[in-house]
Amino acid sequence: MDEKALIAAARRGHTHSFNELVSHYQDMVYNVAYRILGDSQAAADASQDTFLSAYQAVGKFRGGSFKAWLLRIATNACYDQLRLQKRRPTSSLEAVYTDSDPSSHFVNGRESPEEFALRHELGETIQGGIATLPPEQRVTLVLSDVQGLSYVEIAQATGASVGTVKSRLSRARARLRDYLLDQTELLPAHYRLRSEG
Amino acid sequence: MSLLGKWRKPEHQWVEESLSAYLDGELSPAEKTRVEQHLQECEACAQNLATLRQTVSLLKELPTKRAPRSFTIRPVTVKAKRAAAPPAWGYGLLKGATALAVLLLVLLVGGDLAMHFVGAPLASWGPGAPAEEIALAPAFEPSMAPAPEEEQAILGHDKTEAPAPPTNQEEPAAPLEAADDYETQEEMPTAEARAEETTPAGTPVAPVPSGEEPLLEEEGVGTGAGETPPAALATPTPASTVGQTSEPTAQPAPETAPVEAAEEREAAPSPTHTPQVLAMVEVPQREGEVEYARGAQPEEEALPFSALRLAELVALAVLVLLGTATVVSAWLRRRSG
Repeated sequence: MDEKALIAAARRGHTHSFNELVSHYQDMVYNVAYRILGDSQAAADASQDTFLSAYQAVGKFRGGSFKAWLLRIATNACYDQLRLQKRRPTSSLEAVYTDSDPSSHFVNGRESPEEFALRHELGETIQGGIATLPPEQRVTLVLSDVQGLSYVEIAQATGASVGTVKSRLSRARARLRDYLLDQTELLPAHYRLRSEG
Repeated sequence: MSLLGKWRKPEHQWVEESLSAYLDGELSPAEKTRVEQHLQECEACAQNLATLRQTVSLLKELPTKRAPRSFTIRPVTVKAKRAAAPPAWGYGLLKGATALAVLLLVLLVGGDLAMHFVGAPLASWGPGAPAEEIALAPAFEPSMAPAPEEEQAILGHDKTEAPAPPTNQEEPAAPLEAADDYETQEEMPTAEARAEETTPAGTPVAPVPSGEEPLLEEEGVGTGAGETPPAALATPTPASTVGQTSEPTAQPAPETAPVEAAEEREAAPSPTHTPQVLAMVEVPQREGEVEYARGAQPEEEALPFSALRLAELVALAVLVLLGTATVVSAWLRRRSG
C-alpha cells in the first residue's frame, strides 16, 4: 500500500482510496477506542466518527504521520464518547463487565479454554484498571502500551508536550500497577505482579 | 547523614517518577546512569521497576480488538451524517420556539383572565348587589349628564325584555325578586313601589314622566332602531330628571317601549360602559332574562373573548406540536448519541 499516493488521491476526493486507508487503520482505531472506552458500542461509534471526520478533513492533512493524525481524530472522538458516558454512567460500567466481543476470543488458535478463560479474566481486570484512570492518562497509556506509539507520536496525537506525555504515562502506569497489586488475589497466579520478587 | 537523607529522598522520588521513561528508553544517557545507580542502592525502586515492567507487559499482552464491522465511507453515510448535523442548531431553535410558544400562551391566558376579571363585575354586580347598584342609579342620573341617557336607553331594554315570554316561562314560580322585575316592567306603579324599597327593578321606573315619557321613549327607540345610537341615547335624558319625582305616572312608558327598545338595545350597545348601566344590564340576567343576556353580551363581548380563545387554542396547538417535536428530537439526539 502506497500510503502517500492513497492520501493524495483521498485529498482529491477519491473515496475508494480513502477507504483503503480506512481498511488499513480501522482495527487500530477500533482497538484504541475500545481500550480507552471499555465498551464495544461506544468504540464502534467513536471509530465511525473518526473515519467520517477524517474523510471530511483529509483535504486539510498537511503531511507528516497519517497514523498520528488519524489517532488524534480518534482520541478526540473518544473524549466525546467519554463525555457521553459521563452523562450516562451506567453504560460504561455495564460495558466493562458484560462485553462479549467475539473478536477477543481465542486470538491465538492454540489457546486452551482454560488459558482463554484466564486471559479473558485478566483482560477484564486490566480493562477495569484502565477505566479508573483520568481520561488524559487513559489515552496516553493506551497509545503507549496498547498501541505502541513513541512519546513523540503520542504528543502529536494528543496535542500535549513530550514532557507532559512522559509524566502522564508515569502516573498512569504507577496507578494501574497499584490497582493490579490490589487485585492480586483475583488474578491468575501466572499473571500476578510479584512485588516481593 | 540527615543532610544525605534529605538529598536522597528527592533523588528517590525523581527516580521513582523516571522509572516509566527508563523502561521506554526515553531518558538521556546521564539520567539513565543516575537511575541505574539509584536502583543498585534502593530496593524499593528496584521492586517498583519490576512491577511496572510487568504492568506494561500485561498491557501489551492484551488482545487486539478487531473492528466488528467495516468503517469504510459511503457517500450515503456522509450525506446521512451531514443531514443529521442540523439538529444540533435545529434543536436549539426548536427549544427556543417552544419557549416562545409557552410565553405566548401564558400571555394569552393572562390576557384572557385579565379580561375575565375586568368583565367579572358584569356578572357579579347583577346577582351580587343588584338592589344597591340600581337603587343608586337613579340618584346619579341628575348629576351626571351622559349617564342618564344611557340608562334610559337601557331602561327601555329592561322594559322591553321584561314582558317577553321567556321571563315568564323561566321563572313562573319565582315569587319575590322575579316579581319585582316583572311588575316594574309590566305594571309600573306597583313595581316602583317595591323597587324603592329593595329591588333593582326600581330603576327603570325612575325615568318615566307622565305624558312625555312614552313619546321620548318612542323617539329614542325610533332613532335607536334607525341605527344612530347617539340620538337614541340623547332622548331619554329628560325622562331621567323627571323620573325621580313622578314615579307612578310612568305606567304607559314600559308598555309602549318594548318592541322597539329591543332593537334599540342592539343598535346602541354603548350603554354598558358605565357602571350603572352594567348593573342594569345584569339585573334581568339574574332574574332569568336569558334572552337579554344573549342579546347584549355576544355582540359586545363575545367578539374579543372568542378571538382570545381562538388565539389561545391556536397557541396551545402550536405549543403541543412544538413540544412533541422537541421531545422527539431530544430523544433522537440522545439515541444517536
